Amino acid sequence: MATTVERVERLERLWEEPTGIRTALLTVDHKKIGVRYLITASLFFVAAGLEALALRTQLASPRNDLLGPKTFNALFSMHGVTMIFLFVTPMLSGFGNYFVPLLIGSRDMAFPRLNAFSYWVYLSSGLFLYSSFLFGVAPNDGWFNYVPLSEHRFTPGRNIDFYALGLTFLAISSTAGAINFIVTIFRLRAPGMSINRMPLFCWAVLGTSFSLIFALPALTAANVFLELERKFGFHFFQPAKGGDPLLWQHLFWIFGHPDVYIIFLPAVGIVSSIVPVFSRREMVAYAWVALATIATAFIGFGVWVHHMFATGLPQISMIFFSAASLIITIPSGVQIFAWSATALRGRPVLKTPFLFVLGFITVFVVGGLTGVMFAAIPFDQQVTDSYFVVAHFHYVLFGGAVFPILAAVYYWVPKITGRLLDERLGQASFWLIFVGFNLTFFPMHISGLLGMPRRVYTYPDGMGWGIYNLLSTIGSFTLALGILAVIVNVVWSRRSGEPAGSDPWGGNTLEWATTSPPPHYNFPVIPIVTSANPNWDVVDRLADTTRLNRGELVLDDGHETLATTLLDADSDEVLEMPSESPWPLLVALALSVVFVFLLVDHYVVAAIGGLLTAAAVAGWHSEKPRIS
Amino acid sequence: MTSPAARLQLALAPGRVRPSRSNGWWGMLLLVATEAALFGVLIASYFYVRFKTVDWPPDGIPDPNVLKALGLTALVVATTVPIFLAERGIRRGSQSLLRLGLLAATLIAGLYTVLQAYQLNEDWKSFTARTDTYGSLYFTITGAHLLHVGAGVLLLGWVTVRAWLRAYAIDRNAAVQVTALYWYFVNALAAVVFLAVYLSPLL
Repeated sequence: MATTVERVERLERLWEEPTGIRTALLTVDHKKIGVRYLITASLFFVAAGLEALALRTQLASPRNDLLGPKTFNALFSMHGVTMIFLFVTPMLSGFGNYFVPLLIGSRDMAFPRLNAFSYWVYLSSGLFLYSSFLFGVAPNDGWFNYVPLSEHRFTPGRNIDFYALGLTFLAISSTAGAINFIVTIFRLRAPGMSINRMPLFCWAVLGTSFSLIFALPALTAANVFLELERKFGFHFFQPAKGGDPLLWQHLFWIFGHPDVYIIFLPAVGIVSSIVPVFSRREMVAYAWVALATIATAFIGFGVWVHHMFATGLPQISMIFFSAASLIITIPSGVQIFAWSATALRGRPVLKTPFLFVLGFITVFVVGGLTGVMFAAIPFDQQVTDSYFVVAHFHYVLFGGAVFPILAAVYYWVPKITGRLLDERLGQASFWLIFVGFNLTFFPMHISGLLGMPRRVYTYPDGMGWGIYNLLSTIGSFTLALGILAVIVNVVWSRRSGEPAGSDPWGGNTLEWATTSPPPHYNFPVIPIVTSANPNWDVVDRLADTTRLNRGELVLDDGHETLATTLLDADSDEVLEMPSESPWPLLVALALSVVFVFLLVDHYVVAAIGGLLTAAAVAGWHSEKPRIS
Repeated sequence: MTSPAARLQLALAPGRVRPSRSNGWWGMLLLVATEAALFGVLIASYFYVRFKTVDWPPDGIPDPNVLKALGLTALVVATTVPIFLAERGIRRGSQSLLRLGLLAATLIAGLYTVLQAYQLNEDWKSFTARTDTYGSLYFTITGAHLLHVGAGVLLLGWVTVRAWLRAYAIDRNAAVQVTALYWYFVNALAAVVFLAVYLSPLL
């Protein structure tokens, strides 16, 4: 009979990956991949932030000529593309990758190699998009890339090809990631974690992933149409040839509005994770919050036309979308009340993660109020394309996503590094960001109502907009200082922070049941769950230790984890998990060949890249599990 | 109530044919869902443009040849039967049913791919994707479907070869089920594309 120590040593041998360049390229560990996502996305965040500072500096005073109109167009387009596609979604994927398996008591994602593949494709497509700066042809038609400006006759350079091909490339990564999250949550939950005990963050990731699966094809179709038009002379958007420019807008927003919730839902999941822990009580109305998450994802598909109220659509269809846009505030309201009630009924501890959550609630409520105003068609038509819109979507997106992401940095990074961030610097960073944010974006409401249009690189004197723009610019630098404080804090804590221990916050979910950082195999024994707050069930966690000593559910016969049934999470089968593999990287490289050579019109080489991709996929599927 | 560990022993008992679907099957189901959404968007775009156009197909473009398209669609949809038999066969342990079913499906699907590619090439002689939006949508939708069929033929060929190498067994056939699921989807798509692109212009 093996002893506990022998069992743990065996797990260690089975799951450890050798260090060095080999593992760097071949790893399939969800924790390493999660950290890569987080670091890469943070770098893109810094890039987007620097772009924003350049834009704000240009707009600080009337008739400024720091940036010309061409540079300005490229910078605001890439700022939007980067924030939406290369920062927020991948950053939340990073947290999802690292924490979903830990939250559900599993040893990896359902498809570890697909997970590595998603990351490599994300990195390649991000570099693909950013390489456009090297050639001076960065996308320059805004993040929603409207036709006819993006058609070949108006933008003959490769700017738009970088956009359309880059986002199609990135969609492969997001789709693979979404499928991976869904199957992981469906199949790998610890025994006993029936769906009514699932962490709310997992509900949010599930909602987001389903939205991605059904929304991304619309963006992909739109981009494929555009590229067929630009490169091969097809006609989809030209009225003279029987097409319609509004087709682009419909397709784009059929993706684009669900995408708002794709961004927002995981952020909300983070908030629902943090609120009960720092309120020292379980979440109020758990079931309502879970249902609100799914309802938001669902209704999110029925509101896209509110981005098109000024395009002259029939009144009757606009009224439907106006009503849907009002309805979607209900699930958001349910969640806000549930968080507030949890905090009020509990004994809140005002540490940095919770401060960012409170900041989120404040800012998001303001953004939500202007959102309700847009649902009223006449108001929307009045402020369309003005800075009022810019103010609104920064309140809901920066407020709705970036504040929760920063809360998650303070909350979860100690689990990743094993070190706490500095609390005083943390509180200082919160106040800099909160004040800087409001100073940047609140004045835009006013300049927008005064008539200042979006996407102009400068504006004349005497319009009364100057003071608001100057305030915005000062705010943006304050905000940047706050972000810098967060970065300094993370880097500093990595070496010099206080040791976090397994559970620095008294968390209710399973990631706090294992060490910080977690071992390669996450848990020495698969936990058995009996409530929605498993880490507060002391008796159950003691039972885990007993089972480890007895060798029950340790799964140390191979590189294994446990699969359970979909609804009730009963034990189903033991899965042999793949180990490190070269194929994910090779498939991603072959795909890069396809997209690079499509971009430069070398279709034969692109086709060869396609064949290489197929060959690499075949190699992937011929790989035998490593004999342990 | 049995303990989770005891239930696990039960679940892993030798000779038990797994009741639940494999991870791979779930993954394919979701891939199929996103592909279905893609075709949903393509066909929605088709009707969006159609309902803004008076003549459909526009002047100078012949109506699609429904009978030929019906024949071709029937040919590819017919492969559902051998695939179904192959999948059911291996779940009961029949290697021969698996091999013959897969081989028949692969050959018919290959034949369909060649015939359909030839047919699209013929169509290209009377109008092209550059003629107008009708042509663009016609060739984009049928071309996208043909690409999916082509990927399916590669997948079927791969599984057929592996079946001949005895890679699958009564308790080890997830790859067959995953491939079958994809192939059912491609066949359903063939029927939808037929209804939307070939039949609907005549109605």
